[in-house]
Amino acid sequence: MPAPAPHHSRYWTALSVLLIGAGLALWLVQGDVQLWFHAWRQVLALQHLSADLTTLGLLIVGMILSWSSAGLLTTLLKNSGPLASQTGLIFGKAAAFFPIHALTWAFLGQWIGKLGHPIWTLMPTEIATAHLPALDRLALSLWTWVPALALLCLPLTGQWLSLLLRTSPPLPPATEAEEIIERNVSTPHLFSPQREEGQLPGPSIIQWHTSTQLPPPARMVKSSQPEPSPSPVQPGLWSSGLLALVLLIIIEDTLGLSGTAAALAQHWRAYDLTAAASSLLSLTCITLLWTLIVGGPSPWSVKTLRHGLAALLKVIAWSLLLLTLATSSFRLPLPWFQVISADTAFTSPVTVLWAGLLPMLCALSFWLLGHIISPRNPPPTHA
Amino acid sequence: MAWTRALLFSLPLAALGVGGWSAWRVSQSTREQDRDLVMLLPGALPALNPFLPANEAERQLLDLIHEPLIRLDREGRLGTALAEQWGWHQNMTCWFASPEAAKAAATAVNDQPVEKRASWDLESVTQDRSSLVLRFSHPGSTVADEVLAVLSTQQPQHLAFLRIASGPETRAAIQAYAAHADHAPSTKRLWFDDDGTCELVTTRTGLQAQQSLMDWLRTRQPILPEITPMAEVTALLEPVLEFRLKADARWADGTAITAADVKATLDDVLPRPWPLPGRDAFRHIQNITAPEPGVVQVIYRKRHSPALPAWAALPILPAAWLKKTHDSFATTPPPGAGLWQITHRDNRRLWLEKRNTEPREKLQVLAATSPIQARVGLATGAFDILWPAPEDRTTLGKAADLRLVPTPPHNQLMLVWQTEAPQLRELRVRIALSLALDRRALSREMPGGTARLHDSFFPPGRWFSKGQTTLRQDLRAAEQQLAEAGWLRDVSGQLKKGGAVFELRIVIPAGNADRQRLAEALAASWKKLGISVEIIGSPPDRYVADLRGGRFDVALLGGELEPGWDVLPLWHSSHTDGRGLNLSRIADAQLDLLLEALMGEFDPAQIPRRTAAIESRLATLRPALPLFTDVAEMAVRLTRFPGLPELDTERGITLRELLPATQRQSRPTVKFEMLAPKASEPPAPVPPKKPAKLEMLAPD
Repeated sequence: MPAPAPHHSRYWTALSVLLIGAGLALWLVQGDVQLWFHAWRQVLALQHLSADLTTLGLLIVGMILSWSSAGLLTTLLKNSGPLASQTGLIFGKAAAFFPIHALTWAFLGQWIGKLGHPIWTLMPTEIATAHLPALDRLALSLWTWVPALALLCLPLTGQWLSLLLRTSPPLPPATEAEEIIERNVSTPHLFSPQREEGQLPGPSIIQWHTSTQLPPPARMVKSSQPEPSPSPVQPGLWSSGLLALVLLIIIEDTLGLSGTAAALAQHWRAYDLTAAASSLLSLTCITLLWTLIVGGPSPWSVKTLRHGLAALLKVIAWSLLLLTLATSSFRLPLPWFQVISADTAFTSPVTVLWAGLLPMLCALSFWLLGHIISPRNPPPTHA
Repeated sequence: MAWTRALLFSLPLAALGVGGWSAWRVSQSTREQDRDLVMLLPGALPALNPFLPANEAERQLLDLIHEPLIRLDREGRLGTALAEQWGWHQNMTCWFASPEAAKAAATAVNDQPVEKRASWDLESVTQDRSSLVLRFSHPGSTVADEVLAVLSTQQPQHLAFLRIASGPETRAAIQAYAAHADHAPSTKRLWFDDDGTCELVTTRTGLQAQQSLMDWLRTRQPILPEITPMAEVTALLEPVLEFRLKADARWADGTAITAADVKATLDDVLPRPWPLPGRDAFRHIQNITAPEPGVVQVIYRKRHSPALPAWAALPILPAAWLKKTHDSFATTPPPGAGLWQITHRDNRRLWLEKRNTEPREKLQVLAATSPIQARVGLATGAFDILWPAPEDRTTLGKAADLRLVPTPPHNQLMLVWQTEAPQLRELRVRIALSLALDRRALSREMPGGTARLHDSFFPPGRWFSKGQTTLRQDLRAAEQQLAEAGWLRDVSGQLKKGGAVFELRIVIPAGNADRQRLAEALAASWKKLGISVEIIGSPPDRYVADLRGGRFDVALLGGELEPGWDVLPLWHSSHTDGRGLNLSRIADAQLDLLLEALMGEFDPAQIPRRTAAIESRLATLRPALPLFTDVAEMAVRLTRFPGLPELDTERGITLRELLPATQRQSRPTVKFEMLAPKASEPPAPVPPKKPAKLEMLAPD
């Protein structure tokens, strides 16, 4: 039996985040400790406060919106049957793996290139708003943030959807549950190899299905002393937050928002490594704050080779996504990924979407393979 | 639980509603027609250092914000700016033993017959204690000896010139010497060059002054500089340039622009290592004074007629601002006296407002920090003027409502032949190499794939510039010239003379991709003649030294176009000593005389004749081959500039000329074209009824 998750995991995670961030910043300034300290001083002097608040604000609002959207979708899908849930899980993961830069460019291509509508942050001309009603001025101001949040919410909602659907599978029909109980009662002893394992519903099911009579296996689970397991939402929160920060690097950068995440990409491209280190440290601090608020990821344990292989395939899937994003944002020379140009996006937004399809399918294939070969009742993880 | 359910259902729907409403409102918003003019710059906002523009866009913005004393107009002539009048004079200054002697000398001059004084062009005689200043209306007056003969009755003191070959570190010590009570009465002039070299004018004898200065410096300087007594004279002849400022020439805060601002600007900018056009001319300034309010008097230490057009490239800054700001304009752009003023600035935007206009005209300048901003602006119609990056050109070509408009050139590029190189010593060879080049094809190798052909040794578009001629590629003629020079192809097609292979070294600054591309195109052209060409990249810090040392056969020499006609340093034989700019090492007595005559020519009407003579001589000698001038373009939205078709864009237009074109001209444009007889041609009979051509260009 795996050891229960220690309560101080968030502090260990926070420490790890801090060390990794600081280490990466030191690597960015090529080991120059003076520059590293300078970058720290800039962060601690709150020189990037407005940029930090931009990124943190987008992160929090994006997380809340995507979580609630995914919750709504999960409820709808679960009520539509197991097939819908499985389809929702795959589509959710596909949305999470779809390269955000392709999505962003396709949006820009359609909204600006085809429709000729503005994005303030990219074209900061002063619009004469003085004569407009307050509500209209509010609408125009909101538009600064709406595209970024919408683009952030799409993959995040997909990720949340897949997490929620995996951690709260549909209940078996009552008749099926009775059959299982029947078979189990007729089994000579509990440790017999012929005994069929009961499928235990997750805690979310228990939370969301209060209005229905719980079937016997669930009642058994409730009445017995369950194995302490972390909430299905908490580990997802931490990792989804991390994913959101990565996505924000591309979204802020492409949409011209003045956030810390965009600053990291821009400084990197300009070879201003000290400034990039400073931005990276700011992002580290945001991640640190996020970790302290929502807690760390659930502990991972590789019990069998099957577990290990499944985890490896999922890691490959996420790495593929990260490499795709790095190609776009940091101009890393990875020739097997197509770099999307503004020309292509503005001429044909659909082409850009197609360009994102291949990396998405690639990553999704690896993840699905990992999902298929993983044990039937794996511990809930953020993967 | 109910709260969770409410959150689950309401939040996404509310967000969707708010986002959708916001998007719908934005899609309904349209640009207003009477909004500010919007200009998009590639990259970050410029620093707006008036002496160090990074690109053409910044230069044009600076041209709006700042104002020099005089300007070059559309025809390339000198026109008014802060100054409404200007003129050259000459001061003759003599020092006497006593004020009484000076007074007596003044009386002697004033007692001369009026006719004689008029023939001297004498404007005034002013006594200042023991000195007498005679002001002549023309510089370079040849009557100095006659006047001195009149003054000699009062025995004016002799003046000795000392040249001190010192470095900048000695400057303070020499200034202290000149200001010391023992030496100040005898020290009449003190002038420092950029490198610290000093010239001192004293009423002591050369040897006395030399000894005195050596004694002074010996205790103050570890190494004694070389001090050389130069010529001794009786009177100091100094050209004086006088500007009368416009009555409404004022800073934005309402204070008047004065000579102090002009002096402070020069004092601030000259010590800085910035590429100031006309720097050589400014170096010769002895002093700047204000003899009366609204007048700026610039006293030069030597006759140098290009000193006047140099003022057209010097924006004047407020002395008060310069006094309290010492950051090399890195963080705060200086205020200017131009028509447009910066009213607000943030990280990505800059607002300019035209002074004294109702309704207020505004120009919003945006920095395209994201590479797609040009595309966004193009799609949304959000800008009126764009300074395109090379990658934007394809997109701009498809935009029907935008027109690319060239700006006037600011840089030129020429091929310099090292005329002392064995294979290039002969004129025929240099002609052949020139004939082998297709300059139109070469221009496609220039940055951005465009350049203006230029075949003059003087800047284009000035009143003294010659018209464009066509130099065509003619390989057959080139081969014939080479054959006549003894260079013949062998069986392998290689050009040889007496067994020696024709080899050329093109020297370019290492790491300069643009120059490398052009050099390769040049090499390909010359290889067709059988010449073996090697391209050598010289480290940028050694490039000029290599050229001055003659370690090249052909060099690509680029440079900023000077506002005037000062080409003497490039071609005069006195500048071939390894320190000057005569890189071709051409040494021709006739050319030297022509260049010197041009430098001493203060009559603007005579400048074209003199430049034509130099042009002709240089075309004969061929020390270099002018190639191109640069082309920068701005994309202009036609619907916002209805007056654009009325502008002559052939020579290139400036932002200053473009901005008023937001409205059509409300009155007919009158274009005068003077039909003056050409100096080199016999006078043609002038039609009796049509002495001048008057064209009326009515608006559409």
